[in-house]
Amino acid sequence: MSGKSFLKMENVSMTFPGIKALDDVRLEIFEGEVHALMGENGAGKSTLIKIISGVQQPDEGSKIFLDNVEVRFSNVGDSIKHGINAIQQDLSLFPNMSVAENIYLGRSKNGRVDWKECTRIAEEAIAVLGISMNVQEQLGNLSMAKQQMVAIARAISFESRLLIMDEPTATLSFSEVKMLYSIIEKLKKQNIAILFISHKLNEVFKVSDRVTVLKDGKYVGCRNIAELDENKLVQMMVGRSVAYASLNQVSYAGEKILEVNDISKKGNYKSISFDLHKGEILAFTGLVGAGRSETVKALFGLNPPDSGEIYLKGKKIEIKNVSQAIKNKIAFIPENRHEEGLVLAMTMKDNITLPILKRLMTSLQFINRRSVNEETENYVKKLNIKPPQINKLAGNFSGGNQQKIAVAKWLITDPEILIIDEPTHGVDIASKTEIHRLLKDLAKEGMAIIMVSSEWQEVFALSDRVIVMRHGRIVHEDNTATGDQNLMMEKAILGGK
Amino acid sequence: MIEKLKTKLTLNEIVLSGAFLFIFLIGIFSNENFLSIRNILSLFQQMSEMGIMAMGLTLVIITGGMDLSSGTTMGLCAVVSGLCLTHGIGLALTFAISLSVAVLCGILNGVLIAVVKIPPMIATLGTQMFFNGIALALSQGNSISGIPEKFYFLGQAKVAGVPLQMILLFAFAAILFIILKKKVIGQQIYSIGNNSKASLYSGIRTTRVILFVYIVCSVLCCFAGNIQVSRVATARADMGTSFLMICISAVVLGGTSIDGGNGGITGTVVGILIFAMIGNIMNLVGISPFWQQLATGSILVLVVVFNKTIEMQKYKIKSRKV
Repeated sequence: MSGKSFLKMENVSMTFPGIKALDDVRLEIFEGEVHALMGENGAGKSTLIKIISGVQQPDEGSKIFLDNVEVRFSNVGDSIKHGINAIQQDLSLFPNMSVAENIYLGRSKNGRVDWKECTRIAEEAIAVLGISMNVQEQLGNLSMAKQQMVAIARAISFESRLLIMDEPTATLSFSEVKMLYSIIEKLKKQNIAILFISHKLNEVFKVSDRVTVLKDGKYVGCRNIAELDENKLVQMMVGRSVAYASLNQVSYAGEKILEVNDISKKGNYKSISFDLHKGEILAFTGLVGAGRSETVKALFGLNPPDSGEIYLKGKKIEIKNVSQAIKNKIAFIPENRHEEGLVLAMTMKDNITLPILKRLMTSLQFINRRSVNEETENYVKKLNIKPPQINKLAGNFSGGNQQKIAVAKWLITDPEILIIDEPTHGVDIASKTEIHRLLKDLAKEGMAIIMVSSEWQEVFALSDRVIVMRHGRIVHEDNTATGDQNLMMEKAILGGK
Repeated sequence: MIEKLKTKLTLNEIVLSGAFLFIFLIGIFSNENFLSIRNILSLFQQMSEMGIMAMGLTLVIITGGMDLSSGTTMGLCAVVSGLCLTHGIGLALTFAISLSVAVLCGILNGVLIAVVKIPPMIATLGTQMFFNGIALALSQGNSISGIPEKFYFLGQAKVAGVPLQMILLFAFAAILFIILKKKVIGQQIYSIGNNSKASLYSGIRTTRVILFVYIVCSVLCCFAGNIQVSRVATARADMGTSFLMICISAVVLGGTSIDGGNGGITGTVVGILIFAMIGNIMNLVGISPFWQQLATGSILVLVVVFNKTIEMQKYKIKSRKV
């Protein structure tokens, strides 16, 4: 299938400090086609979408053509003017306004709102989708599916030629997904192209005409969907490559320290059972939303289970809050450094010593400043945090060093079990390697480590055992060294098939 | 390097000191009585009630919270003390009852905010009226007079020529200063104000800390109320209501961010002192009190604008001095 090219991107690169998010990527979208954009988390899909919709500007030398004319989008308004509209995952609508207002917003007649015009435009846009809806209804009263349709209607009312849909079915029920498919068909007939981002393979095969696959910020290929089957597509997405200097796959696993027995929490995770040994790195992997973080948070008292038991060194324990977890020598380094991990507006030493202030105080609950400094200096050296200024604000360190501060903050509690959620998220390559080596060293010293990671290379390079989760359940468990790695990835993406 | 760091961290305080000096100089040049011991002592006497309340608010605001009920808590405690005293209850027991009422007020606020998770502004807006309602019902809307003379010491006594409430003011300031800067709970207060989620994840019992600050705030309001009852020898339900906005202004003027996370007691004391000096100078010079609000308002806006401009220029995360 080949049509008239609408959007063509060549040599697109995007560099962030310390990391190349996109490297020489290509993308061509024909008029009236549904084009799927696939790739794992961190493959560069979001960055590419941001470039297409004008949110971010690519590096010099990147070329974007519309109808074979080279263009540059310097802001979102530019791309909208050219008929490119993105529908964000969260829809970016206004729940307290009516459907008509939501669709009309951003237009005006000599600075005044023309209510008749507003209703007319909204009704027209809704009619194009072939559905019926009261445009005076308040948006917040509608179902997610209807709200999404309003977002689509809003987009096409701007005479859109390309619609970008980011995970459009993530919040929809089965029947609503069907409705979305029929709307996509209608849009195709009107020669509107759609760039479709989804993690669900069956959807991609159902709606799209062609698919472009990205991996680690690089272009893997573009195929007609008819040429592919699910396994071939998965191969394209995860295809092996050596990204990290392989750490020697020696396992230091020792005696059992933690046993989790059939814990469940409604809407979060179900029937989770696993063992953890001293000196072992156990990886929890799966797609985003598979319930990995929710599960490991249960061990830290942040998301306590409704049922099931947890045994620490053979003794049954309950972890209802963070203090209990710390008392049981469990530490948790959250994924989101900025919101959950660190207090950015406080100094490095205040951050690192925050969990152990009680240990560093004198009998009258005064903070012992000298031991705060000594403890901090100790870990600055141990983790090679740069620059080694303990009075510098945490927010003024680079991403990699911030992550090291977060690690230090928890190592200082002297844990026996360390849970780390996405240990190298948003961290530059050099720090990544350092953090990996550190985790391996900690395991060697006998610490039991649970690592949540979406990066396959990281999982394979670092872990001794892998647990694959999907829809809140464990679907697969295997030894990393001896297990079938392709099978693990398939389980994560395709589920039990 | 350390020099550089110091100047960077104290910019906020420099602006505040500048404003303070400016008004101080105006005071000196506008009236020769301004610098007299008598005037200075009476200045502190006037500001101590407000100062004590503002210090409690400082703690609350550092955690990112707000206590709009502090004024009416003061009124409620004043009425309770007034009723106790006029019904022949002894001093010690009166204080105990009044303080327990304050602790209950603080617990109510803290529970609504930290446990039920109602936004502080809304929760304390509700309790503000609630406390005022109780105070009005108890006092039937009347001012309670006939406070026994043995109670006058709190607001009228002098120790070696220094008004007792001024001593209390500085004692509280010192205690709170030490709590905030030297004690574990102080560090936790700042960290909750900066990032309550990360604080929770660090094992800080955020609920307890928040309860603590609201209780402290209410207790300090209770002290302010009792001092005023003692000073004017009457108790009324509306005693603290006019204090609330001035106290919040003083906290902000003193460099405590309304979003929480930084600031301190020293700034608040200076802030209250600036407001008190403006009033004092105008009284001395004989300017109508109607102009006072204009002056205090302008100073507040000027200092905040100045702070913001500097902050924008630096475009860095502001820090508190540790």
